[in-house]
Formats: sequence, structure tokens, C-alpha cells
Amino acid sequence: MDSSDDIERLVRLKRYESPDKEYFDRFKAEFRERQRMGICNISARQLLLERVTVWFSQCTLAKCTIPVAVMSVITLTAGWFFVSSSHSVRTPEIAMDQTQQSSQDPENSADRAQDFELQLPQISSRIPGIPGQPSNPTSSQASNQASNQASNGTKILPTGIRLGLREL
Amino acid sequence: MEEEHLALTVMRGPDSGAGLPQSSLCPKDSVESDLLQAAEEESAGSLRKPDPDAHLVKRSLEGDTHAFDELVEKYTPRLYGLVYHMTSNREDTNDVLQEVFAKAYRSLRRFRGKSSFYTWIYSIATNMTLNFLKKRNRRRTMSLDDIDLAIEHDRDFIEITAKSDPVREAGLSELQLRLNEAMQKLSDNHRAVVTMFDIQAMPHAEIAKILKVSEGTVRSRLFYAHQQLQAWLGDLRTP
Repeated sequence: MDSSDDIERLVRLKRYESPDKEYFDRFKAEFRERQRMGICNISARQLLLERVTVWFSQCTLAKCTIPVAVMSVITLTAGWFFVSSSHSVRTPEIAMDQTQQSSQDPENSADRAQDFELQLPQISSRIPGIPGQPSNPTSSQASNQASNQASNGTKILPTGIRLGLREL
Repeated sequence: MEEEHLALTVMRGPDSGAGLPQSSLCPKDSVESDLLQAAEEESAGSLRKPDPDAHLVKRSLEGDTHAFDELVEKYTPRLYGLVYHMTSNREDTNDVLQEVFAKAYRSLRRFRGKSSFYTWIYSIATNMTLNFLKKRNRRRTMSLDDIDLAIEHDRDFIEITAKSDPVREAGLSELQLRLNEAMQKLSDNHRAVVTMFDIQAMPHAEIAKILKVSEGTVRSRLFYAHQQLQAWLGDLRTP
């Protein structure tokens, strides 16, 4: 042997190693036999697993599930970040406006500060805007004040909420 | 990395079929030659012919068991060669081959026709054989098939025995034993490449596709495998 070609030719002779032709007939019969045996011996778990695998490979909806889920999570996360970031950007502007206005007109700004003051009624007192509730005898003054404010509908809640409570 | 680098130096040309041992084809085996031709055309990047087994696959998927039997009948000899030359054990070959066809039958619905059925089932057989060899590890008892007496009329055999006294003196069974021992000394990956290229006459591109490696890797593995075989079979050299 003096070259790679000779080695190739020598190795190539191995293709003459082959079983007799009857072997291939026997092989096919044995294959069928094993298939039948396999069908009989297959466990319920294997069968379920195989069916799920086949279903998953065939079902396009199932294939789309993971990408759709991932995309939804990404979209929701991005939306949440966008909303939260827009809030965080707007807050200083509002604060700036308020400080500018207060510096220009100190009296009005004091009134506005009073307007925005949130005075929540006591727990024991009646809910503002809902008539016919009993007043608490222990804190009659506070409850009267609260009821008056509720009837007037001023200085307690912002206008939108006030309107809603009246409707109630 | 070294393999990849050497692959560039080992390349014999951009062919996938020029380095192909055409003489290794048995003229009587028309199925093999058809397959080889189809594989060559695919690898050459020419217009891809429709898969000759497509109708059998379709019928099998429709529940026609005879169609799959035809596929088994068609590919058993060739796949037997692959597994047998990898394992050098005929009982193991039979078991692995049964498993290969059973797996192919179970997975037939997953076959999308992106490659030919031939390439697909060959990949299954190769992977299953390599996995089997990993599990078998050191238990390497050889159980060899008989040599077809047609070897005595083979042109290569006649030339080799004429040139080499040791080969002539060794006799057929001794030569077979030596060849199988040398093959078993190769690593599994190298043996797979030698089996597919030298014994089964497959083109580089097809081997690369089946093993999912580059053609350069196939060529470098072949180069190393031939070097090792030369070293182990050195005493069969012509004096």
C-alpha cells in the first residue's frame, strides 16, 4: 500500500461483506412482527405522549401558542413601561406650572390649595351624597359639617366624583 | 479547528462527485446507482428532482402499510451496509436496523419533504447507530457476515492481490478480519465517514448533509481516517 488510493480500494472491498438474500425477507417479516408486538405492548403513557406529540406537530394553533404568548407578554410589558414613563415625565411639568402660578398670584394659589384639600369623612359618619343615613351622636359636629359639605357638594371631592355620587 | 483548517488543504476540488469511487458501484444494484445519482444532483445544486419516494411516503401516511413495506424493502440493504460497517456485528446491526425503521414509521408524520426520504432515513440510521455505539462502548465483539464470492472477480481485488503478496497470502477471511479490526480502531465519526464515502460511495455533500457538518469537515475526517488506516494496515504494503 503506497497511497491513500490503495487504502480506499482496500476498504472498498468491505462492501462484499453482506448477508444472504433471504436475510432481507426475514428482516421484513420480523419488522412487521415487531410492529405488531409494539402495538400490543405499548403503555398508556407512551400512547398518550405519542398522540400529544403528533397533535402538537400537526396543530398550527398549538405551534403559535408559544410565540403568541411571548409577544403578548412583551406587548403588555412595553405598554406598562410606556404608561408609567409618561406619568413620570408629566408630574414635574404640573409641579412646575403650579409653582409658577403660585409665585404669580399668591392669594389665588392659597384658595386653590384649599380647593384641592381632601377632607375625608370619618368612618363612623355618613357617606357624603347618600341621604337617609343615621348620624353618629358622639361626633355630631363633625358629622354635621360633613353632611353639610356633602349636601353642598363642595370642597370634599373633585367635580367628577361629586357628580357620580349625586347620581347614586 | 485543526480539522477545519486541514480540510482546506485536503480538498481535491469543488466536486461532490469527482472524487467519487465510481468503480465501487455494483452494476447490478440499480437502486443504489439511482440514489447516488439523485444525491449527486441534489448536492450539485442543480434543479432538484422530485423525491422518488414521495408517493410511497404519501401512501404510508394515508395508512397503507404495504407502501411502508416497500420503503423498508428498498432501503434495508443500503442501511444494513451503513450500520453493519459501523458496528462490525450482524446481530447488533439487525437490532439497530429494526429500531431505525420503527422510528422512521413513528416519525413519518414529521417528515416534511425538505430533503429526500432517502436522506431523512439515512440521517435517522446514522444518528441511531452513533448513539448505539456510544452505549456499547468497549464491548466490541465482531460478528461478521460472509464475504460474497463475487469479490474474486472485482477489478480492485485482482489488482491488489496481484500487487501485494501479503494480501494474497492473508486469504479472504484474514483480510476481512484485518479490515474490520482497523475500522473498529477508528473513532465513530471517522468510521461513519469512511463507511459512507469509501464503502457506500456517497458524495461529500450528501455525507455532510446527513452528518450535519460542512463538506470540509467530511474531507478532513476522511483524510485523517485514511492516514490512520494506512498506519494500521501498513504491513499489507507492497514490499
